[in-house]
Amino acid sequence: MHSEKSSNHSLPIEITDLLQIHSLSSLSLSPDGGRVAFMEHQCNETLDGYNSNLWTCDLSSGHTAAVTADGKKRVFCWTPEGSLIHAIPGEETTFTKLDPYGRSCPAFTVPLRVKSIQPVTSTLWLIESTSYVTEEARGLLTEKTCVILEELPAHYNGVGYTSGSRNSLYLFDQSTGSLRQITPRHFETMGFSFCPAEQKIVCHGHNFTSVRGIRGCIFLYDIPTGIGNIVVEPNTYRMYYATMLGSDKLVFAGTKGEHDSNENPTFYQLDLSSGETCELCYPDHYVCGLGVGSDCRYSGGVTAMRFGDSIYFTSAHFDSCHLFEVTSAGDFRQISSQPGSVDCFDIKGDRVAFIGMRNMGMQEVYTLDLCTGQERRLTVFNQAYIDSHRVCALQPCYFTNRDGTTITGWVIPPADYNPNRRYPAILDIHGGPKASYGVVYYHEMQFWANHGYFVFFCNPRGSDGHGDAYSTISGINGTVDYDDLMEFTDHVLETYPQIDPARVGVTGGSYGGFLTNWIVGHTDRYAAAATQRSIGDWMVHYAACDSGYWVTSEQFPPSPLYDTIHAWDLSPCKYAAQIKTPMLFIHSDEDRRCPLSEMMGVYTGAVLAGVPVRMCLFHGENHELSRAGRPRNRIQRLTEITRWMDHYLKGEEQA
Amino acid sequence: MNYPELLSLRRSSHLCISPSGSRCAFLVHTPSVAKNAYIGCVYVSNFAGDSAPVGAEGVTSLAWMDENTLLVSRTKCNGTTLSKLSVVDGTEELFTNVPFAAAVEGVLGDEALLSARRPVTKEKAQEDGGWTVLDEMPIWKDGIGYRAKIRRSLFLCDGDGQVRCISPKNMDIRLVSTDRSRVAYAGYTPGVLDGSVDEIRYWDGADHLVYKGTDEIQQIALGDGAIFFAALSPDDEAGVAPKLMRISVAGGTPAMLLASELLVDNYIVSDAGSQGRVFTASGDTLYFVATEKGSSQLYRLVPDSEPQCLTTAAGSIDQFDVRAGRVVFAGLRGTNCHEVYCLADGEQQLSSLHRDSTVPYHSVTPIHHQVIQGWALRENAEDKTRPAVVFLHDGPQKAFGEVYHFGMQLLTQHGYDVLFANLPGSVGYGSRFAELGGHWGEEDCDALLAFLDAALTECPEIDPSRLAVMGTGYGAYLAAIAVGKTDRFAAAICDGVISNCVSMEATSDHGIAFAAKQMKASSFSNPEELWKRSPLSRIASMKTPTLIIHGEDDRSSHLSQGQMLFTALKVHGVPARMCIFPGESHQLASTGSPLARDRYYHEVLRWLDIYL
Repeated sequence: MHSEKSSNHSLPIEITDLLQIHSLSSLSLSPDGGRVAFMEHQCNETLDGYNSNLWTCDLSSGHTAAVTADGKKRVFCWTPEGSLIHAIPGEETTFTKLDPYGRSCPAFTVPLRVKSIQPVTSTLWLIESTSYVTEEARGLLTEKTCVILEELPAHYNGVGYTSGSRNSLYLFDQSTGSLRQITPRHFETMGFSFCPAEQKIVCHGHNFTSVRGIRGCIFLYDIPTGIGNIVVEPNTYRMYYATMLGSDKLVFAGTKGEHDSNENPTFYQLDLSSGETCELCYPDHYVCGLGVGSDCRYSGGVTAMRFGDSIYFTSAHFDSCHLFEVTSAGDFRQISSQPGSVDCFDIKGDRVAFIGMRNMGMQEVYTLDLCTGQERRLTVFNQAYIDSHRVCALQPCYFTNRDGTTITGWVIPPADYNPNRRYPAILDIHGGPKASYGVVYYHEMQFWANHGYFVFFCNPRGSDGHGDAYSTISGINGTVDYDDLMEFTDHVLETYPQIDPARVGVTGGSYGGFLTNWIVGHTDRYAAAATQRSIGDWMVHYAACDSGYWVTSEQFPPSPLYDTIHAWDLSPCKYAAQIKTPMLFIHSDEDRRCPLSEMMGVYTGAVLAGVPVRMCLFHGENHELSRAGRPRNRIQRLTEITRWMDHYLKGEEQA
Repeated sequence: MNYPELLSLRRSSHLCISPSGSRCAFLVHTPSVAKNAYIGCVYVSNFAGDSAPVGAEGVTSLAWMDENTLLVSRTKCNGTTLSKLSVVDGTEELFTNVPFAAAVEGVLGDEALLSARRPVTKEKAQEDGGWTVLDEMPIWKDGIGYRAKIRRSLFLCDGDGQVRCISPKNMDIRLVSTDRSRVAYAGYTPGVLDGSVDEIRYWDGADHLVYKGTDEIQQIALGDGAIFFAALSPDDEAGVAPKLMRISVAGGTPAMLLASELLVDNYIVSDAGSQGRVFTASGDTLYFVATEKGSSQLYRLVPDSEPQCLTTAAGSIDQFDVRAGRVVFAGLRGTNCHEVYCLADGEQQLSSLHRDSTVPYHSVTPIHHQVIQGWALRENAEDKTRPAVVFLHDGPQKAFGEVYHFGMQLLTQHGYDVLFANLPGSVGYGSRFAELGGHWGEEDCDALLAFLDAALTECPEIDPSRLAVMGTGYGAYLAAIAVGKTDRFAAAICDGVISNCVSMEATSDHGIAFAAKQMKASSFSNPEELWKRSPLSRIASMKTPTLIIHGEDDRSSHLSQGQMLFTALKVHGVPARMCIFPGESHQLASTGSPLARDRYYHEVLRWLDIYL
């Protein structure tokens, strides 16, 4: 799998090592729990894209084998009989069946572009695909001359214009070829759960005709009768997950947004016969969140599922992303204990299979015994790389801030660290704001640490994994999170006098870009800044961001349009003409999460301020450039940031 | 096509007279549905009879080589092909190929004078479309795209394809005037921030600096031994008439020829016009176009005398040439679409580009209200009541005139009276009238409503409950301001709107000048002033169903301006529809692709039909 023969951690980590990373996703256990199937992805330098192949792994023998070799992204699932069906999604999607003996044959064709599939019976399939509210809407969205928008949100990052389209569920009968949309025409499905015991499909999402709200509803579909109803009305709960836990008992994780738009959900129990909803459990953990960040992932998988009488979910918790359980009785417990990250998982019997990151390595497949908590690694996709390269250790650098809160943070001293030397350093800031850093492999940080930098990063308030009180940030952005980052920088510089305080740079993406923009407008302590896919103007964010109108309306209630002074006071643009730090802007022209237009005020201010300014604008890329962009562009992005830092922190010539 | 008559709308450009004056040539741009573009073809007139097409299609620029031969350019995938076109028999012979996109500016001796936008750094030259590095302001120009470290330079190219740059490396050339051996050109050398054209140079085999000052040079023309130019002082407001200057090609101090109220250039708005050279010298005589009271006319300025107006009819002149005793011009005259004329014994039409056209035509009724010059386009059927559309022009420093406007005619053909007027901010009525800096959305909006009242009195057939307001750019801004101040409009249509003046400063290709000159403010020092003038600040009182049209590549009013108005209206429950045209710029309504313009009017009429 790898050319490197060395296993003595001697090879330096380079930018182009991005090409060697194997990312895993979409893990699923076979019905008997004996095998696991998953997708494996790796950059294809020649095609400037990604190779994605379907793999299986036998849990007892550990035998791992590729099912496909053409490198094309697939949807797949296990059949009730233990075969694997898979297909390359197209205008219609034709599935191939691989039986347990390794024989392949054509299965069936679904007249849709299938996003996901799972079996209801051996011939009935639950399918997720895009629909349009009317035939006219389909035409208006797909014609070339003009795109017509009549709904909010009008677009979505990575997808494009979405007005009039819906994420919908279908039942496809393989024997008759019949296809039925089961979610209502105007229902946007955000998440769903098929409950075989109850023969129900629970969907949470938004039923809307003009403007989608933030607080959704639950649509419950009964398979035997073919009848579906809205069982939780909209506008009360922001929904994260919903499933049946017993024939009359629907459990959902939702928030009422009482103290923050991103607060951790409560598990509510709805008695379907009485219609009464009561609180089941409030674990103060995020559900279906972003976990702990890494730039080595590609695509995702299941992060919340019902198994038996419990709901299992992954959630950031201090330095790691762990697996947790909420039982039907409302009991809550942590399942995994090893540091790192559980990225996605599946459960059969008393065994969890998961894709995770352990021991500062990259993604591999693991099993976890629900009774003993024992973990076992099954794959070695990235092991040879990790063994042969100079992976630098993370040093915890927690501190107590002025408000008495313990902030989690880390420092990566440079490779071949010599305590008698002085080094430049880079502060890396995560996005979100409800996201987190933890003890996992992060390529860009490892690269910088391998090239003479101290890298330091923390979870300022607003971050995930530390409870609701910690993560509350909406409407006070740039205040306590900024203070934490300044105190963290102070603390790191104090702890490591080897860092030259005159040669510290700062970078961050998305909300981390907001904070980078904010920081340079308020202090000149950083000698260089690289702001990526950043937020600059909340008023523009309101309209141009795909989720802007509700995000900013919760920040500046009822709307930034009425609270313009507050919105402007909290926008980095306001302070941009005071910037004293050399600014590198990294942005993508198809970013619909933080569009270029909302950052332009910061760029303009920096130009007017007279500081060195450079923007590298990537074409055809979106908000995911650093994680899922074309390989050549990902390499260029990291090269740009590194050159900028080298120039201002190491005094090196720019190429 | 919903409106096939759009396909008969043709216009000309590159109008020029042959060296000895026996002919004139021009490019005619014809809409093509198949290519969804305008196809250029050379036309030649010998001043007797009709002009006729010569040679094959696809020409993008031209210049005379000799009395019988034109040098023409065509765009190829990797560059430009230059050919010698015989106007006698239409045969073509390859001159040479140039490995980049270039336009012919003239012929010097046996070399072609070309202009082209070229990278000036090695890094920029190596970019291949994956990404663009931007380190200047503005980062883009409407209709052009991203622009840092790219300059428009002048090149000489011989028949062997040897190309040499004759302008300074970092200078961006904006204005060129040439005869058969010399070139005068003007431009500026951008720093990180954009500048205005402040430098004139002269090339006669060697390059000379002629003038560099603080004035903003708007026009230049090469005469005998001297260069004429029109310039504004740095503190002049938008819409002020420039001073006319003359400077020796050897340099020295420029002499003031004229400081008048003559507003040089054609500012008359039409979606059927074109825009070309409006400033030319012949010997020591200067010719230029100036705009006044709803028309643009051709003027002649002989040394030591007053300027003389050579044309009298109402209309617009958007390009002309003078040579060997001949004067030719193109523009919109009377009821005509764009045609070419010769000035000899009155105006003689040289082209008939619309002989078989089916474009709608309705006549204009003047409506003057106090100092406001306005008009109504109406059908002569006074017995029934009709809905009406108030049509607003971009700018604001432009003007309507009694000229052909396809969009307005189409609306009238579909049953709508069209009302249009030169409101405060418009040009041609003195610089004080044109000055709107720091007052956007005030007297212009008041005048709009007063003009509407006057028009309703004048046109009793209009049903006051069925009124719409529509505009492009500044016009869309004013429409959005109006619906924030009044509910008397049943529908609004905003094309390339400015909805948030705060973010306009950073996102528009002229944002910094916009904030400084038009708003008298800056988002970095007094954003509240910019917000106060933003249509969005009145969102709570907006109730009018609004159609928002935006070119996806609009860099003048960035797409985000339209997105903000759309989002705000939707959130506030006001009927709104947004039409985004991929690949189109701020000029969508006038020079957008044929299919886009067709769709544009389909959406406009659909919205009007629903709400009116």
